[in-house]
Amino acid sequence: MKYRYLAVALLLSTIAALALAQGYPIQITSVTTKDMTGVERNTFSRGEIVVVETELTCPSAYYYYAPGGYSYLEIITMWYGNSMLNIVLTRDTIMAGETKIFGGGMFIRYSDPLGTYNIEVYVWNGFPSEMGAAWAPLADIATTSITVTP
Amino acid sequence: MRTRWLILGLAAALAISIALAQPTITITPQVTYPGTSITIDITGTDAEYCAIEIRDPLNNLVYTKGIHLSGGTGTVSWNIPETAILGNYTVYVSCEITGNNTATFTLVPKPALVGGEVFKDLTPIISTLTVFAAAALIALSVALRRR
Repeated sequence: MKYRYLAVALLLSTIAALALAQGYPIQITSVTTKDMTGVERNTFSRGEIVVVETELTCPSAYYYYAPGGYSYLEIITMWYGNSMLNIVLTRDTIMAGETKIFGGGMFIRYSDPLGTYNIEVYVWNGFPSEMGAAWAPLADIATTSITVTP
Repeated sequence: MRTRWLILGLAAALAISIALAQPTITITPQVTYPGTSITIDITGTDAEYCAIEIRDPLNNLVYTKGIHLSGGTGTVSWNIPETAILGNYTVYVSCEITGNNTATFTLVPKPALVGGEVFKDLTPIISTLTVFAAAALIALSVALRRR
């Protein structure tokens, strides 16, 4: 009888470990910054638009976990210290084995500060205010940075 | 028999604690005004991914950020724009293991200065220095004449 309980406990632990080891179903494979002509740059001036382009991939192995794909919310934010200067977002669905490219333009105002700006990309199943306890990240955080000059 | 009940009891306690788990949110300060900043401290499970979202009194999104907790805690700060509207703001925090929670803080008008702006009045100091300088010049001229 004792060994039966031990076996059940071991089985449950193994299942939990396997679930956690899966990681996130979506990978942010690239985050690049470009100008309006499509040239990749990481230095911009005030008055310019920074185009942030992201590439998301869902490995084929996740087909068995979600045959209908993953519906996601992708958020791209631009930060100067603790100030969120810009945000673009999109909602889409990605199938296992698929790659999605999304880009958004962020205007650097003439009144914005000079220096290093951090760009952070998040992929969630929704906003915390929408999902509550059912909120889940679908990819790890990806970051890049640019420099803003006069 | 006793061991069986003990194991079942422990399993039930674990299930209940997981169901009731929430990340704790501490906002400092709870009342402030536009142009200042707030700090949000989150306590959850080590290394878990948490999302923070702030909505203004009109439910507009004003801040969103994702972080990984370190040692079970994480801290973010928000520089509140001068143009932020006044009222109660809601902070939503959702973590991948610990669950979700909400908290609020309030923006109030900047306190008005009482009695106007204060300037240091240097007139007495200037007057005193002028008198001393004049007296020194007079004494010097008298001394030079005597020679």
